[in-house]
Amino acid sequence: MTQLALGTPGLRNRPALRRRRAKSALLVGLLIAAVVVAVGVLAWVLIYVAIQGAGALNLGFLTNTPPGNPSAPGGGFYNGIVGSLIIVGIAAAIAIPLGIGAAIYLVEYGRGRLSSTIRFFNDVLIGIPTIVTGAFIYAIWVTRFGFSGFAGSLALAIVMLPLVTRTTEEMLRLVPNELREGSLALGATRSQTVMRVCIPTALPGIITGAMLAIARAMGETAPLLLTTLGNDLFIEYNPAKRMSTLSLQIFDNAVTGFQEAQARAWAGALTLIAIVLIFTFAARFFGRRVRTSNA
Amino acid sequence: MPDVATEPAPAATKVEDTTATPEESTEGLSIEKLNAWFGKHHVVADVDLTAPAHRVTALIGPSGCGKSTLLRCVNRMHEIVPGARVQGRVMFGGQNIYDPDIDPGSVRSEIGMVFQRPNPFPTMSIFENAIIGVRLAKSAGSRKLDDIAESALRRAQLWDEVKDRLNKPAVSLSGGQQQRLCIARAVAVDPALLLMDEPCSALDPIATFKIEELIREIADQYTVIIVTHNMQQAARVSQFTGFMTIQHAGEPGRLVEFGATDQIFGSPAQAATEAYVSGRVG
Repeated sequence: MTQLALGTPGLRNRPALRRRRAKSALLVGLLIAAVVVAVGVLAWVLIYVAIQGAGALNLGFLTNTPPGNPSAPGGGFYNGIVGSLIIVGIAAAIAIPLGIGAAIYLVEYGRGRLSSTIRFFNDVLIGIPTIVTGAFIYAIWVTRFGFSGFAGSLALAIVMLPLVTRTTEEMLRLVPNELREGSLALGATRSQTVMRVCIPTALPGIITGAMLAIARAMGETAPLLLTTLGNDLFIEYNPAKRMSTLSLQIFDNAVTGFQEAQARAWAGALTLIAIVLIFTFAARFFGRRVRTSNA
Repeated sequence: MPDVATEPAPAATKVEDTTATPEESTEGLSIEKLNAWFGKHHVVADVDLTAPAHRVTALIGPSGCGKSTLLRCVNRMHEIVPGARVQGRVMFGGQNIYDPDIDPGSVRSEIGMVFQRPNPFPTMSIFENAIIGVRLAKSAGSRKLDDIAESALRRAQLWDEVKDRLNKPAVSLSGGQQQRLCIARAVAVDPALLLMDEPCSALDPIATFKIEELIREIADQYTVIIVTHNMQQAARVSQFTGFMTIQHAGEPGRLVEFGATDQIFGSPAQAATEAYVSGRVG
């Protein structure tokens, strides 16, 4: 029986088998090439920035303001680091709760027309160029109250909001319905189910989404040019005033043409990447601890 | 095979026709003229059934006959699906659970449910899973929570296997253990009635055997209604059995016959039941 089946020409078709194996090898090769290119470019960027930035990056860079004369050596981006942390911090405090709230509504409560409309506008909002967001805040806020760190926070909050909403929404959708039913079947209300079951289950993904939004906001430059403007000379802790940010200082120093300034821009870029990485790892670690320490 | 129907069931013959004067047991459950829909799709039609107190009642029938939907109507879980609708009465503890004054949440905390696939909460430990229902319902002191967890896990015959690792995540357990944890979670709130929706369909034979043993054990404390597509299982664990089916595709499922399990499997009154339990259809 078996021998007969193996002997049939359909199963012993050597040329067809060879063709199929060649095709398979080719496609696997293409996929590996794609991975190498994707990871390679990323590694190249990181290594290049690290090499360029390491020269000017030292304790003085992290604790000083830029020199008055951009062609002078030394100085640092301390005011930009402070500004970035404050501006993005305020933006995150606005956008993350709002975005998570909107996503909870969309997934757990919303149905029909209203939620699909919200989802549509959220997608549109993701696609808006951030310079337009900056111009919008300029028009409705800066023209009345002047340039300020807070105006920058508003612009960045608008950039972050749809990203947080979208990732949280997707993470909540991944929570199996069986868990919601399990909770409801115990007599839990819908809000208890969301708070005790859905959010904790989706938490690692929600944290990752929020961190991606923060990383994105940290690097944004265009909307800040129109809202917080920059403040290169002294350290400003008050978000009601003009502030500098790392991204603005990188931009300003990179376009000067002076070698010393460009070295500072590279060091600033490396600092920015380091801050984002530290935040991401901290959030991962914290998220995992929240999850396991529920016990 | 163990003797499943330990006593003759006088109630079983009466429930055939409950439309005239439905008998209301205060502890058992009676379903009266129940109809259920998903949107426009009529899935359960005109079911009358009484599940006697402290007995195991099995619902059997081919897939798609509406037995799970009927079960989900008993603790008001059917209506959480968008577009789902229920008509009829479910009398439990002298009250109609579909009375407009009744809070579906309190119905669900009194009528526990175990699902087809084990669904312990993955972010919680074994201990937390066992007591989550108590935590949700009322704030009990933490001193009491330990006792509640232990007694629930003992009743679910899981205590000896997990007592040394109560703080481990629930998902570290095997499938069968997870399902027993879900049973512990359901019995921790002391429900009067326990609904089981094909609780063994995702489990291997050994885990299934343990759950069946457990069902037989807890039946003296709880009224159990179990949906199963496994006829042997219905014969092994239940004292009463209802057979549901659909006549033609697209029609709603109906209860064809209800009676003592021995009678349903031994000498069914309806030809359709006979065909199904003897394995000729389904």
